Amino acid sequence: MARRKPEQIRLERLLRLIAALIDTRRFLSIEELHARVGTARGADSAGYPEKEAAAKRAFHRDMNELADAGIPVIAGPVPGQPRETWGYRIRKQDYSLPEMEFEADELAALHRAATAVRFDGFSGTEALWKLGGRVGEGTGAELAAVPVHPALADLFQAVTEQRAADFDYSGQPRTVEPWTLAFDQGHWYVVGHDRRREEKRTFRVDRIEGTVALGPPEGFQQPEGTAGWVPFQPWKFGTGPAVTARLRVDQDQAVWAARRLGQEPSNKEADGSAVFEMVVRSPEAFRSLVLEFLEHAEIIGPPELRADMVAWLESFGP
Amino acid sequence: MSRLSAGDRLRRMLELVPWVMSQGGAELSEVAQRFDYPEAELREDLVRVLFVVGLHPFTPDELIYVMGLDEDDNGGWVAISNADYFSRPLRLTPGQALGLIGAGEALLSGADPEGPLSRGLVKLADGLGVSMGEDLAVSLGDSADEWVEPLLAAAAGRREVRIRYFSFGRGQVSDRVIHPLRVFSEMGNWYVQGHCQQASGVRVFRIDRIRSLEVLETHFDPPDEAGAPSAFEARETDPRVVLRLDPDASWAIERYPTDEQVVLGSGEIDATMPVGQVSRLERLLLQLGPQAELREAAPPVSLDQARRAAERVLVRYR
Repeated sequence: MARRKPEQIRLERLLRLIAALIDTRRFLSIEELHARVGTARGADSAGYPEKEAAAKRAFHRDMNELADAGIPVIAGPVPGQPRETWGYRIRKQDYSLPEMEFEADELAALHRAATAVRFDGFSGTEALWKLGGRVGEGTGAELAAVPVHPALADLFQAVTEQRAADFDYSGQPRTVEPWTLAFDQGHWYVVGHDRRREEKRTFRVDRIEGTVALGPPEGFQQPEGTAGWVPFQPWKFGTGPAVTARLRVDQDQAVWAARRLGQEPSNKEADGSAVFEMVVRSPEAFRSLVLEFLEHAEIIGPPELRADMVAWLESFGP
Repeated sequence: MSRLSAGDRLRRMLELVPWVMSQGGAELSEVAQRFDYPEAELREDLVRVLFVVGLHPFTPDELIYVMGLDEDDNGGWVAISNADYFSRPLRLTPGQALGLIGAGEALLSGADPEGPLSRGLVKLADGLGVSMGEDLAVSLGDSADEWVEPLLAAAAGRREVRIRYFSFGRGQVSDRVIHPLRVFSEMGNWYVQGHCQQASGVRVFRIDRIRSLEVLETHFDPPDEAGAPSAFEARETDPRVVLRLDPDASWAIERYPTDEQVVLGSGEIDATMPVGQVSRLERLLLQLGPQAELREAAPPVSLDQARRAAERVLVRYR
């Protein structure tokens, strides 16, 4: 019979190592793990090399492979050994996926979603194997690619495990209790309580500088009744006083306007045009919004916002 | 498929073993398909690798039992037991959970709340302790609920589609018959790219500006090659302008296609931009005001395009 391939022999050693790391109630030293995995004797035999230095190198290569596969190996002191002797183990509760039972049609739907929407670098396929394998054909065509950022997975873990996150933003260090991670209008945002500024803040994830450091789990509690994500409507945010603006939009753009503004018109006029009432705190952002409609919209009031628009338009010349 | 490395095999093996155990045995071909494991390799790795994995001292009662297969290609069904340490799949990494829940959530807005995607996602999020919409909110554009599904089906079945479309650039509603080639999402909006009979060419339509849609009985022949996917793709024949931008207005370059950008000594930027629709350029010029100046233009754009557009809007205010 043909000899086994090198990757099969390596696979056997890796599987034996994981079995040994799980099947223990204490940390095991490298020597103990070597003894439990076994020593390679002959070309077709799995196990660590006999020589200690080579065995150690092989062991560290294996540990890197386990880390790449997302296997949570933890390190700690070995009982009855000098304190500088580190040992390793895998706790079953860290390793195992929580109990979830999926129907075949549910797995197929998740598979379709994972193939339709691509998150670069986060393999949906591997996640599906863990849930019971790939079922169905997927969509065959990608509908959307969501941009990803190196900090995204860390921030997601921070949100779901209530860990505080430390990062630099606009050249300043921040400590944030993250409540929500949101993707909207092509960008990722993290919303949460900024501990240093003592208020709710929204950060664009692609503007985070460097890496994100996470605090311990259950590190904060999100206050009751605080909303996380609100769609981006910059005219609502600003330092100015709140003003109720009235905007008239021509009939053929009224449907689109309702979507853009995230609200229904307050009334319709005889010619079919729609009037929207909205709170404005940033006159500049409101002006930009109104100009998206070119000559198909008009600020009805209040007079100061109307005058501001006229002055802006007149500045382009006679 | 290229040859699987030891790590590739490990990732698959750790997930397929618990699945086969939970099923009480499975067809080899189904295991191969679910876990993307070429069947011949899978058979070999089960018989020649997994079968000899176990715990020290590797006496038969400490080894994993692989039943139903032998090394001579006999048996199409496999059962696995005596592998308690591999009885559960590995937990999802934060990135994998983010990718899968995020992909599902992005498609959820239009999905049936009783349907398989909703059911599967709720199970997944509950199992992982993630609250959808609060911990993670993913929006690819809010029109996914209406026309995305019928357009996808029409594109797959090569069926012609009649749409009433509001052209934001022209400010007009028109009826068109299109051959949908591709449906995609970009920068928060959904688009369909298709051949338009009225325009006799491939065009990109924003799906939230489709007023009504009818899938026709007639089929179309696929073109030799579908064009590039970007909604903002410039055409060779588009007229070019040179826009001088204030350094503070550099965001405009991120959002619009440019052929070339030259940074001047003053920090200002000269951007050469294709103009697909004059109204789109006008919108940008009116929003930027003194931060942008047209330096070069070609018909139908004129150097005083901003003033002309401002004049049209001002008519409403006089």
